[in-house]
Amino acid sequence: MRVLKPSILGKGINTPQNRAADRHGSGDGGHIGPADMPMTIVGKSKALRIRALEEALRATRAELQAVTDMHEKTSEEYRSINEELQALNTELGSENASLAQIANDIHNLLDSTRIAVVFLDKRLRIRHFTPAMTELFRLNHSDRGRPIADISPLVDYPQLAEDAERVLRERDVIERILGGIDGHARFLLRIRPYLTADSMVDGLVLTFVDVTHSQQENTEHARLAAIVNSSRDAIFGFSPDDRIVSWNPAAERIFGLPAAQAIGQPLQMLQPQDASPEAETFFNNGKREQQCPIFEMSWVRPNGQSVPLEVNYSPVRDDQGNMIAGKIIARDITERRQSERHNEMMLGELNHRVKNTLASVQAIAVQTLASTHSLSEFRTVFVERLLALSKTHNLLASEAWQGANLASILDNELAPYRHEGRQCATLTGDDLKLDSKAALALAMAIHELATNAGKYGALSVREGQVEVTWKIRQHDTRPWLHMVWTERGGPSVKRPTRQGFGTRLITDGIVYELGGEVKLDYPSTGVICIFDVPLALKE
Amino acid sequence: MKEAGGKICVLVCEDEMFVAMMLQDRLEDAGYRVLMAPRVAKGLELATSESIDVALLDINMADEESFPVAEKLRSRGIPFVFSSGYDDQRLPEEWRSAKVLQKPYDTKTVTAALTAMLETGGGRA
Repeated sequence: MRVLKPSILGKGINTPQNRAADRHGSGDGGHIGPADMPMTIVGKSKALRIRALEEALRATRAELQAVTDMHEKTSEEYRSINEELQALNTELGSENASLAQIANDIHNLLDSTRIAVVFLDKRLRIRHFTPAMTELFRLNHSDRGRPIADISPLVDYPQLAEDAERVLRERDVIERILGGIDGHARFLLRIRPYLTADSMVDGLVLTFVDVTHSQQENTEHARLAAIVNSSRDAIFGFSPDDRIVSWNPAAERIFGLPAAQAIGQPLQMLQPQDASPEAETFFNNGKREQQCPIFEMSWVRPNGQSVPLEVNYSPVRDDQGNMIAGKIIARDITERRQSERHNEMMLGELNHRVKNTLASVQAIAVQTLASTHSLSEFRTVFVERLLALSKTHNLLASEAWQGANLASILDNELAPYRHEGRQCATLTGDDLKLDSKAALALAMAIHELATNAGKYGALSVREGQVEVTWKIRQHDTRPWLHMVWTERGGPSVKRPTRQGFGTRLITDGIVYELGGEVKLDYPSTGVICIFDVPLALKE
Repeated sequence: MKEAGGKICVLVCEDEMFVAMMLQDRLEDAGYRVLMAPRVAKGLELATSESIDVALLDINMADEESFPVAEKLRSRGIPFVFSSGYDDQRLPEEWRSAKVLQKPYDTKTVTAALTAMLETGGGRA
């Protein structure tokens, strides 16, 4: 902007005096008015006076010339000032137009924004607000000038006045997340001081941004993140150019790589050396199918540990169906592999047991056949032995072959003689679980003792009694079973003349199978059998 | 290597008492002198000290494997045959060529196998 000098201004002002000078100066300077010439009729003095007058006229003319010159100069200056003013006017005019444009823009911005903004004065009276505010605070034009506290808003915000006072006092900015009174909507409120051009606080600006949607997205995002973070499976993502972009805690554990070492790396770094054809196809970006089948691979952790994985890939697509990322779930299948191996082993073991059991049954049949005298005797004795074996199997099976209780084995074998509430047997001993080998062997021996007692001994008469006592004692660092079978009240006993299969099983069989010692005695009062057998195989 | 009485001596390593009793009876009936071993330790003891012509070794004996007995028998040039209740008993490399009888077996199969062993010396020098 041009600056006008006061000196020029003073000379250039169009005053009435100047206008008069202008008129006089325009007349060529030849004419002298009567007021300037006194009338005398003397010759010489007349000539003198003419000279004087001419002199005066010349002086006047010179003066007039000077005034004319000055006027012209002033005119020139005036013209230039005019031009300057004109330019200034144009400039102001255009600045006015752009100010109007800006004002209009601001007006449109405030009208079109969906952000609710309200301007308050220092006494918290409404000065101006955006249309979004009319909904949120149920405002209308007549509310201008009303205190905001008089309006009941659709947001739950009892601390409004308190917060406003604080912002005014401390020139602070306060932000709050407010719930709508309907309970669903959520708003981010920001209260700022309204500052004038010279930085004076002249009220408050409150903006309310509806963050309901983004809050819902945040909640959903947090929910999904929690699932991913707590997953036992490795979950990670990669970009369309095969760079790893996310890596959950399970991925860190399963691959043995912290996120910092995985994120940003090419996906191909996970390709194993001995990749299966499926895995190789997957790791080749060009060949990768949209829907890869689940494949297995093994991964060697940085510490050298190998882990079998089941890998499941799926592409992530945008609304148009374009692939924007890839997602992988890798499951550590170590346990599954172990369980498969375990199952295989169990099947093998089962097969082994069945065959061994069949071998035993075959041997029992062969031995029973050799020691019986008729087919019907064979049938009875063999079936009873098979049943004893089978009942012990049942006991063992009910405990997953971890063992069988000695008292239960005795109960099984004595049950047939305890009919009609007869108390023919007393069992006294500690709770003792026998391993499968000892359980099967002792069950067969007890079966032979009970059968013999039922045929010839204490269990063959009403008054007869069998007492079984047992206890565990430590010997040569192993637990040993000390069990005594005593028969009383039966017919007078005689030592058998020949050793049958049953007797051989009780004495030789048990010692053969378990070790230790078995004493079978035949005092006339009744059979006594004393077992002293170790309950652990190795010494 | 027959003993004075002219009987062939067979070592039977078998931990299952019914099978052991049956083998003992049948083999004795067949004219063998029978030595029974329910544990590897006992088998090893007999294989070392006794004069044995042929042996039948159950591979799995009370949670142990009878290979040490086989080793001892081989070192003495005594032929033997394994028996097992496992289908696919994964034999260690050095016993891969040994004969294995699958349980359950007929005692006739056992005596036939033992006789064959005695005749061929187990195919070994």
